[in-house]
Amino acid sequence: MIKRSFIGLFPPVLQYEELDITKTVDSIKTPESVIFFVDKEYSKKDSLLIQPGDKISAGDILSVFNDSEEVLVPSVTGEVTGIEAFSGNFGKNYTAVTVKTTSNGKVNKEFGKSFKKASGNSLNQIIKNFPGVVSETVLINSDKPVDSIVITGIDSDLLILNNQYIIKNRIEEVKAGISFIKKATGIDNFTIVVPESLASEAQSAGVSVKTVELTYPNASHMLITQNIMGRKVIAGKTTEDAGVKIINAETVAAIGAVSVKSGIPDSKLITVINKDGSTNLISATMGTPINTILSHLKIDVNERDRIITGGPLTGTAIYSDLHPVLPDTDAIMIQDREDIPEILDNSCINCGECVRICPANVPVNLLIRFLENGEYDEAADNYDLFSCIDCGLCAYVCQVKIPVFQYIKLAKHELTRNNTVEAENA
Amino acid sequence: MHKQKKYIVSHAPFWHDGSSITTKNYHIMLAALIALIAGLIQYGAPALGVISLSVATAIFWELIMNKITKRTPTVGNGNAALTGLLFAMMLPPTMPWWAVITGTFVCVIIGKEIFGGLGGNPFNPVLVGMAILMIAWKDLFDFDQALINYDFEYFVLYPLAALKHFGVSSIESLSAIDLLSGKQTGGIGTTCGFGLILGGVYLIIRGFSRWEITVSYLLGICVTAFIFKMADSTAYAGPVIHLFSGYTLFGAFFLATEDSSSPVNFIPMLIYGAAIGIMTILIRNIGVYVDGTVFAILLINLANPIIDKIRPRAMGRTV
Ligand code: SF4
Ligand code: SF4
Repeated sequence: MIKRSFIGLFPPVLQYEELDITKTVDSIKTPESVIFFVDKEYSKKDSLLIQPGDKISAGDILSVFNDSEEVLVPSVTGEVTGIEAFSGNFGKNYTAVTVKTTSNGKVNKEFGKSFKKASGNSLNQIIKNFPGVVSETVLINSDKPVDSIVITGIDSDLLILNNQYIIKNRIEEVKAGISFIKKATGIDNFTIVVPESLASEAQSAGVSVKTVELTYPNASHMLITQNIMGRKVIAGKTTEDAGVKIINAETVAAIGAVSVKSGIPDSKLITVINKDGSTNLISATMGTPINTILSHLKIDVNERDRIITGGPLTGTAIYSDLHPVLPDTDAIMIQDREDIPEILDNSCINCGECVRICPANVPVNLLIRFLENGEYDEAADNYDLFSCIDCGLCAYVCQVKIPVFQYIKLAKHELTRNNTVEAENA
Repeated sequence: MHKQKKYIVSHAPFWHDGSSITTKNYHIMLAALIALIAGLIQYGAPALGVISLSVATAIFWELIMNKITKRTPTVGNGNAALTGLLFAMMLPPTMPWWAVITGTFVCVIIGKEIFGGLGGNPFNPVLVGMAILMIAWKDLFDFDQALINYDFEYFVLYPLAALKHFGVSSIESLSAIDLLSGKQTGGIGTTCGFGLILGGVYLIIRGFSRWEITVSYLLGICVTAFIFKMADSTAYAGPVIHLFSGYTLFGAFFLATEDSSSPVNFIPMLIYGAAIGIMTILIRNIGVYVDGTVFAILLINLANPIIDKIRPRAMGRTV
């Protein structure tokens, strides 16, 4: 964990790690059983199109629900052994499909062809199964047409090296992915954003390359859109509203690989962040339970330690090491219980550390007073709640250890939920 | 069957920079110690008594309040002790015990706790206590009178009082070096300018207090004092006297920088500091009080929420 330095005249600065080019990827064997998440709530009443006992193949394009367009592209061949509900953070619900893998099972050779034929929303749905995809990523969105696509060659949270690795080692696939996306979307304007050190590699993809300073959170999608692409994103709106779609290099490479080699995008690159802050790059079959990865790397996780999917500032703590690797599991971070910072229910002392570090100029010291009292509307209207770009720095520096970032996320979640309900009732 | 271990689940971020209010309070006390020791050497045992009584009662009041309001005791964070310490440093060593206890009561209970504790107070709690004592028992703060029984090896006086009552000529002999090394009378911990500057600069470098406020405050003092002197050099003293006597340095480094009652944005910090500086000199030169620091800071504390409205536009804001 990076602590404040002795000289405290200026706010602390966190730096992104640069890829050590000698870093290699360690591949993990596909385990006996994997789990996939389908992005839809499951209840026992639902009639499903797949059932326990069904045989499925890697590369199938499976509809799971009658009434939903969600598809599952399994990364393994085997037999479905269970279907259950799974609830994630902030009321998000999934359907978890457990599959027992058959060794040497045949994969669906048609996947590449079907992928290339797909268009519109069915293409979006397939891509949601690709490694590196963020849940909101849809390639084609007729409601919000964009004119530019940014490929990030740097991960937005600290210590994660996946996209830098892809730029360094798989730029040809990125290039192929770009030409596929160009055809599928008709968009011409591509920019690759990388750290200075990877600029020459990125050049070979033949599109515009921009470099990003390594100070956190410059690689956040909001800041890339505003500072590098020069688009203003109105508070509360997305980068897409400003005409920019952001896709991880890993996803673009996976698209490229399928479009030229017709393979199946079955494995995910993951940065494992150890207790001492050192990192390993590994590649695992999607759906692999996290404990398989931990035991492969011989990482001891003890009672009351913390397992996080994602990075140190914006990741999500999980309560089970059976949690599978999902398309957006960019990192797995293990934190020793001794290193877990305390969280207190103090009130704000107005020290202003949060205000001075906030990249979005949010008056956090005032905002927090309204959030603590549940006055979310006031917070949004007058204290710039929706200007926040979710970097987590305010809570990182808070002198009285208020979980500021949690308050912010909760407030945004509540307001968004209310708006949806209102829109539905209107 | 896989036995599930229990893991700690909480919201991001999972790192913290390690700063804490407790560390901060203890460092401020540490920094104040340099000037305090100089004061203790000058004034001896009675000063030590005042300091101890003040710190102890400040903690006591806060503890009582914690009990009454049924909150977890907050005295461990050092803030009550800090309040007691800073308060005592401003008093003459001859302060009677009852006044000290009353003072810390006002500081802690009226200055801070009734506003909901640390962070809720609109004024610097130390100054609330000081202001009440200064108004109620004005004579206790006649430093020269209070110290009449002391036998210093050098000639000392309370420069601001001399200035007010006898004019500029009475203090012409005072040199900056003498003032800075504490050859003047005043509060227990406020006379040794060198100590205050050393401690204050330490706090600034470590990031425990904000240079913007201190620097603009001192500049505000200098410029205003200079203008007065330019206007009439026989009636008004120059910047040096004002900077190095009374509570100026103590106020600039230890009082105006109190978090809760000061701004957090850059420009407001500058305005706030400068306004206190100007106000201090106005009170000293035109007002009835000998030293304007206490009331100047309190007054500008009041304006703090308005000053702090000047802030950079948040990202993505349209209006
Ligand atoms: S998480 Fe905090 S520091 Fe980051 S943008 Fe939001 S309010 Fe500002
Ligand atoms: S860092 Fe924490 S205590 Fe300081 S102003 Fe921000 S919210 Fe308040």
